[in-house]
Amino acid sequence: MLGYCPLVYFWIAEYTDGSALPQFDPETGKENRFSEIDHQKLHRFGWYPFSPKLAQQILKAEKTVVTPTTNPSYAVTLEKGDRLVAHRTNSIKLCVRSGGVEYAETVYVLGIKGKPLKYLNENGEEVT
Amino acid sequence: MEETEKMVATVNVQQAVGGSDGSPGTYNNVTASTRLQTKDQFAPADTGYPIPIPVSGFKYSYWIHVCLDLAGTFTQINNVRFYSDGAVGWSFGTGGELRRGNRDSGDHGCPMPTEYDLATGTEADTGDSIEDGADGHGYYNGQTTPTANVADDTEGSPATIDSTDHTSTGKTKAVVLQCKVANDAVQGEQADETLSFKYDEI
Repeated sequence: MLGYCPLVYFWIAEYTDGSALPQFDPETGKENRFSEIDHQKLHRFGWYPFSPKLAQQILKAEKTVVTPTTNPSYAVTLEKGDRLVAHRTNSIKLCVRSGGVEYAETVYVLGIKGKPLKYLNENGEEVT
Repeated sequence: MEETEKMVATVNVQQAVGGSDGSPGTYNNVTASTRLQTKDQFAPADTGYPIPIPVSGFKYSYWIHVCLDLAGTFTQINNVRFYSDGAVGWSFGTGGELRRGNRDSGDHGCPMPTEYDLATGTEADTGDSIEDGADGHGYYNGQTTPTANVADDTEGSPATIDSTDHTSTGKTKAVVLQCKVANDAVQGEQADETLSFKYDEI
């Protein structure tokens, strides 16, 4: 048992100076933390699917399983003063009396605070 | 695989029991089920402590503290919400309900372990009501509305249990649950009921 739901998307933060910070280094598979993002110069942010090669690199570098897919990518462009909203929403169902604990599908959330957000399921489809 | 190698949180649902106020005896991973009983114990398969149907008034289960245990490696977890499907299908009788501890403002979750309040009552008979001024849950019984009906917590309008930004492993605040049963409730083991936690992670 993994004990966690494998990621199907990773993020890339693109900056106004043309540089970018990906969640996972495409060369090494090592992870960069979300807290390392410089939100002051953030120009675009998106969720991107894993390629099989990157998934292998992450498994090797981080010993973590992620799921490569052909899902569409989603990105949002930020204007000055915009505040990014990006996270994964996880659900756990607790069955009272009998049954068990079920881990539901992860929803990837993306948008700008104060504006309509996108909610993406693990198949890359927009959900409400 | 070592916990420190993951960049994804490992989250377990835990029920705290025993110990003393401010210091739970144990946190138990809920892997199969949980049960509301007239005893402070984590024993999902034990049917020996049902909630009796009262002759008059109400009987209560012992309240239970249910929190999330955050392990693994993650940048931030927050916005822990709790909800039902909007219709708890158990026979509670008139005025009965599955209720949770409720705060007049802010998060409805009970900070763990600081505000943990050992469940009390008379075993195999009734728990003390969360709302009881003397023997109730100390984090809730002074509130204007100390409890809320879990059936009113829905996916579209969930109860916020913990809005804290958790940046390291530990426990979230706990939802405190209790059954309230009236004299016209129907005796017998009740149907399965699903309750949900939702949280944001990055």
